[in-house]
Amino acid sequence: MIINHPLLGPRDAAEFVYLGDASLINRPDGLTADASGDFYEYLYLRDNPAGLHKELWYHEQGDRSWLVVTRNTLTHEITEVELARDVAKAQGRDK
Amino acid sequence: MANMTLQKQALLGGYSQRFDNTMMSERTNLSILSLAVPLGAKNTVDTTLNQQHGVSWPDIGKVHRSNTDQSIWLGLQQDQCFALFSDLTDEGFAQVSAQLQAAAYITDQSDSWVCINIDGPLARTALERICPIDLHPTVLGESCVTRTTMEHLAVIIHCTGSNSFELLSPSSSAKSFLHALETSFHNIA
Amino acid sequence: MTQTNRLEGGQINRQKIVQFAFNDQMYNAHPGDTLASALLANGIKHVGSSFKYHRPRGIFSAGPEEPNALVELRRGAAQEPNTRATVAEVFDGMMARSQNHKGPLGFDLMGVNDLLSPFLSAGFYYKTFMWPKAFWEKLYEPIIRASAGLGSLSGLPDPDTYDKGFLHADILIIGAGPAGIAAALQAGRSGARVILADEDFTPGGRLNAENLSVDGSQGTDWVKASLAELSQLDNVRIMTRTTIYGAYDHGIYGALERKTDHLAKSEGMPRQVLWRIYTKQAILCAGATERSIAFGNNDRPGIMLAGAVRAYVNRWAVTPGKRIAVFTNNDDGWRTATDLVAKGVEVSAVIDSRATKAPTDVAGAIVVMGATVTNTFGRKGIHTFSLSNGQSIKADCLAVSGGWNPNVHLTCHQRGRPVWNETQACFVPGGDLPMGMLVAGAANGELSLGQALSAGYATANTAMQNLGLSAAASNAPNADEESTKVTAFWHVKESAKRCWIDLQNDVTTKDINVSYQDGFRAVEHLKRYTTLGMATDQGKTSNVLGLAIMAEHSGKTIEQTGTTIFRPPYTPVPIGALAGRCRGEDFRPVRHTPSHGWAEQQGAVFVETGNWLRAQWFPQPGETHWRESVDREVIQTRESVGVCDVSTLGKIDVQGKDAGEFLNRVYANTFATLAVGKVRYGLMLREDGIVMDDGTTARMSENHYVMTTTTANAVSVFRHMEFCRQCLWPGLDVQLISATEQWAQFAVAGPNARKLLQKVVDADTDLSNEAFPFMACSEIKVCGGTPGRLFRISFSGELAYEIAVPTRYGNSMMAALMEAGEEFNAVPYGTEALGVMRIEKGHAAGNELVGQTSALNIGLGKMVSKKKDSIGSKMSEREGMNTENALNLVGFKPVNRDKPLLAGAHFVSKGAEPTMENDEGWMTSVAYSPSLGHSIGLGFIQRGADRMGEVVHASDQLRGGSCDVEIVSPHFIDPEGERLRG
Repeated sequence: MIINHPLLGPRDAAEFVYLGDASLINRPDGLTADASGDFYEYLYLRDNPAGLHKELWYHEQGDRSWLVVTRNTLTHEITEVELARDVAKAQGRDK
Repeated sequence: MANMTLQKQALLGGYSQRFDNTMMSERTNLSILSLAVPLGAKNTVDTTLNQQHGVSWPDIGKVHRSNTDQSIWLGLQQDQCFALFSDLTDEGFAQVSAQLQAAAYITDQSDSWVCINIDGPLARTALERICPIDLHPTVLGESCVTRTTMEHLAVIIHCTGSNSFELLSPSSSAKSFLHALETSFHNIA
Repeated sequence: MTQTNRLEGGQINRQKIVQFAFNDQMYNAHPGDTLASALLANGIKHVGSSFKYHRPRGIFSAGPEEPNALVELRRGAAQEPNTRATVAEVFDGMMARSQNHKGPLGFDLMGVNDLLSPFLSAGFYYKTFMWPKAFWEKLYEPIIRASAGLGSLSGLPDPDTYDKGFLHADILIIGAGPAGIAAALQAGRSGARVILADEDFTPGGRLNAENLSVDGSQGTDWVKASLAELSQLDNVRIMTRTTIYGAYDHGIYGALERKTDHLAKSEGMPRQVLWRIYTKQAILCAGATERSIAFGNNDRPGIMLAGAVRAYVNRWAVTPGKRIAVFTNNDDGWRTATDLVAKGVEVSAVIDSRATKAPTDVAGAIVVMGATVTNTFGRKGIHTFSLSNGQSIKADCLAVSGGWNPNVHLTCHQRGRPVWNETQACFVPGGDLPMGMLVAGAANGELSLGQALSAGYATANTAMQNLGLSAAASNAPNADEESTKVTAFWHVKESAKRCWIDLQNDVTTKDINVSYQDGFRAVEHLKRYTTLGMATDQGKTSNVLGLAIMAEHSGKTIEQTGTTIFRPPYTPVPIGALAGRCRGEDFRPVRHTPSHGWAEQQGAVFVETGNWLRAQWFPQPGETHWRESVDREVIQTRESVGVCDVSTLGKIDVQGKDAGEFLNRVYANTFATLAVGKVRYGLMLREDGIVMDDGTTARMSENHYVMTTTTANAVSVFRHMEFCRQCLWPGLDVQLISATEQWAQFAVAGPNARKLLQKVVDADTDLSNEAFPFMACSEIKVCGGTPGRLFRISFSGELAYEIAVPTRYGNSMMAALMEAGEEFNAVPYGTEALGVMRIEKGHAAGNELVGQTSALNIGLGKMVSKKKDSIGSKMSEREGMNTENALNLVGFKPVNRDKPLLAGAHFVSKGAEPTMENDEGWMTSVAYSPSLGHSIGLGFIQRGADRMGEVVHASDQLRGGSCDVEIVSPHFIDPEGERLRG
């Protein structure tokens, strides 16, 4: 499998470590009243699409960047690769 | 205790070996600093580098060479680079670090890496046995650098010439890394 | 010795003779021969014994599709079974043996199986060997094991080395036949980075086997000239003896290059290289494989594929017989007859199943159109065969052509399905090709030479276009279109005798009938029920035959019946090649600690901790058992001082204005209050509240922290922290870098630790308890100006420090510490003593942090701050993790002090039955405590904190180590921590 790193170009997946669904970026606030329920959903409820899936890969043997990879679970085609930091910031994550 | 001084030890004992028309040797006179950019401070760091070493911040994948002091700057991450200095004394190194500390987050990495130079026509033929990335001159040409994995070891590979490469790999596995390279040369003989 | 079947010409080097042995008999051959061509040249027809029925078999084909001529090559450790004689290059001194017979080949005692054939048809093993049950293990299994498999292994370690490699290309061309070479010329001339690979040792594909012309010159001459041009191009890499065996995702191909199999000795060079090829475009020019026809006794030695007979005659200058007949359903088979006649070999007959006009004349041969072969005679070598019209014809070789199957395999490796082409009566690639793959030539159903050449050229241009490169302005090579007309014909129904489909697995049309009758009609079921296509040849000459016959039974078209999925590898790949260098000591890298050299000199015993080699203990002269050494190290450390290399622990450099806040969020306990010059224990949870790791973090300066992790989790903690930094809180100003390799770090522990260190740190460092209290840290200078760091932390429970210097000084530092410690009788101690001491102290470590245990379980529940949101803190509050019956980490002493405790024992209340229902916890870590004089343990038990002094039962039925134990505090020594703070 090849991941087309936005800064480095195509790299073998062997350089990366997989974490899971990209929704892991959306960590809830642990101090709100709904925190328990939020964390339960965050950790344990997942969609399992037959099709496009956004997932987190860490370029451990490369530039140590986290990436959000959009991969088709049926065809294995990778349609998009973004820096996770950019995705996180676009979603309003900050401090 | 005044009369005890510590002795340095080169990781590979100053290894040097010829394979047909290609040389492989350990480089032992290297000081390495990692520089990380404080949030939003890219311009400051860039200015500092220009002032102190006559280089601009190396973008990822690029190598910048200082005109003023022969230091070499490897662009390894978006916000992190390595600065390589040769033949610095401890005082000299401390001074360089302190000056850079003003603008960036600095870590001494001098002892974290073993440095091996390969120079000669067999360089790519040997390396293609263990290196997954494309070493073609149009892809990793002179003054390009990247990080990858070879035989389960992290390796920073810097193309230093038409047929030469400088490789950095973690120091604790230096012997295994050398063994991987020697085996490659042996296997292509 | 004369080679009785040699002809003129061929691509062999007649100037040289090589000698080889087959079944211990010596024969002559020439460089360029395969073992098969050499055997045929020497008139040897009977080369093997079939798998199930042990029928005599001969060479069937001239390529990797060979089902019969499987031999054991070489002797000793390098012996390899199931080598196809048709692809094995002969070298001087080659030794080969036939397989699968008891007694000599000519007198196989297992031939009796053939008489039992009525009982051995498809699925027999589902219907037999069932009763009585008592016979399964003692009788049936040994018999089946003994008769299963083909060939035998030496049982010795593989003496060869293997290697791997990585290649990158713009265009990978798979197959160097006419299509492949035409494509390579065009792509190479256009300047693309090309790899041209062929499994054969001589490129050229079928041009080597045929008498055809390209651009007006002999096919083989055109090949030579083309290869010469290609080898001059820097951008083209030609790889022969290289099989592209798998088409993987995203343009990655697996290739196996055979380096020394054709040489008498490998001379220490890797036998084979497994290449991983990354390519943007691939052109599959893998050609086509001929298939047979099923008729009575069609498996005898001397019955061969017609194209193979042509190959032996043209390429290897060998005739497989003195009097050859042809049985065909297509025009291509006729060329065997004409080529034989051209070489002066007698052709006795041409039988064509099509009731049409003969395509050509064949001098001296009987021609029968619209007829079939019904039976053959000659058990060890055919001599006669009979036709459907009653005629009987003499021949010592019968060349059969049932048509050609494009080698579509690689197009299907990612679940693409081939489609049936009615006109050409074959499967061709379907629409769903792997990314970047194109197909040209016979592999694409373009079966004639003319088509192959123009398709190769045109596809190269397509590939160039796809790459956005411009194509060279040169012309496609030209050739005549020879006829490939075919009418599908699968089996001779009139045959009363068994008709073979899969020669290697001995599957006949009868088996297909049984499969149909038993209800196994889908192709995937047909395959598994009859084993058709499951042998080492993967049904290359038989699959289509089998499914066509099943289609007829089912009243379906072949289109409707479909075909089984092809998977990598295309041809077998040795496990050794897949392992590459990862064998023995090279299985994984070795990491050495900075003081490894010193420890080695001391005669330390080492242990593998992940990739690290760590000193486990340092035996002294006279010590004969490890306990002597370890007990001594513990006692001496606690009584005076000990030194241990702890460099392997992960060290992460954390810097930035928000570094403190960052640590506050990744640790469960409070870190915002950590002052400069202080160290604190850090508890790191997973987001689900389970403990991930622990360590200490030191604040070296305002924005600079150094975190330690356990050795095992250094990498995963760093990864996790980068996730938090980049994905969760990208607005925090914090940077991380690993410093594990940068520092040599030593624990100096024991009552004399301070005194020892005083001798090593430079004069201006104040190590008094006031100036440098427990949990202090500082940058320091040692041994006359060397920069270092000092941390006052203790894993052992003694007065202890960790001193760090840059790695290059590590070995020297260890020696300096020991020299300074001599007056105190300092000992070096290893991981065993380290472990004993931390168990005595009651520190949780890897055995306790198992991925199932929480802060509460290890007694640190109160450490999880409720005042801040940190990773895992919320989920750690879950009801289920905070029940009354929660596990607590406590200490255990054996009631009978002489009993050794065992980790892994499970606790039940005294008197309760040791069952899962009564399970209350388990023992995690044990050691002999020299300080206490008996075995001690740490473990988890329900409500342990409230059960101090209670006696429970530690059950260990598996190892017979059960005993009663007393629940005690996990802190066996210095529970008040006085030694730590002195």
